[in-house]
Amino acid sequence: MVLQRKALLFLLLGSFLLLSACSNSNATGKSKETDKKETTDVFQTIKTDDLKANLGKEDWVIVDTRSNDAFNGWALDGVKRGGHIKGAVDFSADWLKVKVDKKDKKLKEALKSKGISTDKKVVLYDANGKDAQTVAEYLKNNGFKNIYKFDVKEWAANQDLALESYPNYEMLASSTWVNDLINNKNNGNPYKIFEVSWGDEAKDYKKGHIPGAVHINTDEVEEGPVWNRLKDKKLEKFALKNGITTDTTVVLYGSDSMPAFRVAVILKYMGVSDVRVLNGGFASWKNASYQVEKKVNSKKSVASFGAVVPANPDYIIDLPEAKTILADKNTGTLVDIRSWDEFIGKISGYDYIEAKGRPAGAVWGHAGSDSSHLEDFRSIDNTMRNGSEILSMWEKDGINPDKKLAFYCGTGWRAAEVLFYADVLGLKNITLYDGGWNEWSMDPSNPVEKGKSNK
Amino acid sequence: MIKNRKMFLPYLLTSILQFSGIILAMVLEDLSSKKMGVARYLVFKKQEFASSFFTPFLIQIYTILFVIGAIICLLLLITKGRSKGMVFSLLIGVAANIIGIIFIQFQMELQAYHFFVIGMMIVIVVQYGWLLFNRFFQKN
Repeated sequence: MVLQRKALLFLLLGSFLLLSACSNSNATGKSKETDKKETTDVFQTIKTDDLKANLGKEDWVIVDTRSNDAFNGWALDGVKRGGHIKGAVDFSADWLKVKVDKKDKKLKEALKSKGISTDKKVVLYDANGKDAQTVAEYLKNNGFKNIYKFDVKEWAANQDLALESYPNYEMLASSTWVNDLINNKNNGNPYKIFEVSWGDEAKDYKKGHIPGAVHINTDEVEEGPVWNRLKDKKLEKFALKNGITTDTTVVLYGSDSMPAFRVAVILKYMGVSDVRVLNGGFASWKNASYQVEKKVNSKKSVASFGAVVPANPDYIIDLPEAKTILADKNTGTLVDIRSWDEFIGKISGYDYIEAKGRPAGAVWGHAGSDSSHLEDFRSIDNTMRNGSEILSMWEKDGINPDKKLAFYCGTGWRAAEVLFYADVLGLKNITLYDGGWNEWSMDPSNPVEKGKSNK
Repeated sequence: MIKNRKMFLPYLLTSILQFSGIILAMVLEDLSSKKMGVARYLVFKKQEFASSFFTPFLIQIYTILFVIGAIICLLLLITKGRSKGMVFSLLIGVAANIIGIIFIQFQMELQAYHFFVIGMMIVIVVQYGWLLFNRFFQKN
C-alpha cells in the first residue's frame, strides 16, 4: 500500500517536472523570438559625412520616408529647412498605412520604379525617428539587407548642404499648415476653407469636415452640356456668395481631391492670389488626427471681389486658343490628360460623351486607369507624385516643359489637377484648355485623330 | 378581372413592361441628385432629345395625340364601357393620356423629363393594346 502511494507520488512529481520543463522550454523559445525581433528592429545609422560621400553613387539609394508634404518643401517635425535631399527618392511611411486594393503590388511597383532594390545600399531618412524605422522594417521583410537610417534634421541644420523644394510647394497645403491656419486665424488675414464635391447633398461634408469648412458644389462654377467654367460675371457672383476676394487665402479639399483642384484652377484664373489644395485630401487630415466637425457651416458673402474677373486670364483657355497652340507645335503642346484608351479612341471615357479620339496633334501626357482616376500623377496615398518622376514621364512622352503646355481632359477636372501640379513644380507657361475633348468633339469640323500618335 | 388563371402571368409581365419606362425614369430622376455621372448623362440626353425626337414641333404633335387619345378613351368609356374590364382599361387610358399631357407640358424642369414622357408613351401604347385585347378577345 505504502509502495503504491510512493509510486503514485513519484508519478505525480515526474509529471509536474515534465510539464515545468515543457513550460520553461516554451518560455525560453518566446524569449529567444523576442530577442531576435528586437535585434531585427535595430538598423545601422549613417553619419552626415558618409551620406554626403555616397550621394549619387549607383549602388546607393537615398530614400525620403517622411510625408509627401515634407518631401515637397514643408519644414515639418522640427527641421530647420524643408524639402528633400537632392537626388533622394520618396517612399513615405504613410504609404504603408494606406488601405487600398492591391497595396502590396503597388508598393513593390513603387520600389521598382524608384530604383530601390535589394542589391543597393539603402539610406532611409526621416525627422521624427519613426518613419525610417517603419520603412526599414517593411524593406527588411522584403529581402533588403543593406539598410541605413539617417536623421535629416542634421542635414537641414547645415546651410551648406543642399535641400530641394518645389518652387510653389505651398500651393499643396499640408494638414499641419491648415491646422495652424485655423488656430492662428491666418494672423488676422482673411481665409476660407472649403470642402469641394459635386452635389448639394454633400454626403462627404455631412459625415465630417475640417472645422469651419463650407461646402462648394462643383456645379457652382461650371455648367453643361460642355461643362466649361461659368461666364466671368457668374463666376464673380459665385466668389461673392462664398465670401472670396482676391486677397482671401482659400484652402480647398475633398474626399477626392479632383473637384478641389478644378475649383482651385478656376479661382486662380479669376484672380485669387493665394489658393491652396490640401495634399492628399481629407484622408491626410483624418490621418493626422486633427479635429473634425459635423456642423453645417453656411456661406458668408462679401460685397466686392477686388478685381475684374478674370484677373489671370491666361490660366484657362478655350477652343480658339487651343487651336492656335496646335497650329504651332514649335512653341506649344496640347497635352492630353486622359487614359491611354481614351487617347487612342478606344473609349470616350464618359457616358455623356459619345465621340472617341483626340484633337489631331495632341500629345499624350498620361493620366490613370479611367476618367475618374489619376494614378500616374498621384502616390498611393493620393498625394502628388514625385515631381522629378512626372517630368521624366513627360520627357519620355516628348513633352517639353519649356514650351507652352495646355492641359486638357474630358471636361477639365483631371487636367486641372495636373495643371496645379505643374504650377507647384514651377512650370511657367502652363494653362488649362477648359472645354477639352467634350467641347472639341462637339464640332465635327475639328480635326480628330485615333490610334497611337507619331509624336 | 382576370378570370382565366392562365392569363395571370402574361398580364403580370405586360403590366411590368407597361410601367418599366416610368420606373426607370423615376430611378434616373432620383439618382440625378446623387450621382454626378447620371446628372451629366441626363443633361447630355436632354440636349440630344431636344434636337431629335423632342423638338418643339414634335412636342406639340405628341400633346395633340395625347389629347385625342384622352378624348377617344373618354368617348369609348361613355358609349362602350359595359364590362368592368373594359371600363377599367378605358379609365387607365384616359388617366394615362392626361398624365402624359401634364408631363409633356408642365414637367420640363425634371432632369429625366424625356424619359418620363417616353415612359408615359409606353404606358399608353400598352394600354391601347389591352383595350384591343379586351375588345376582340374577351367575351364580356
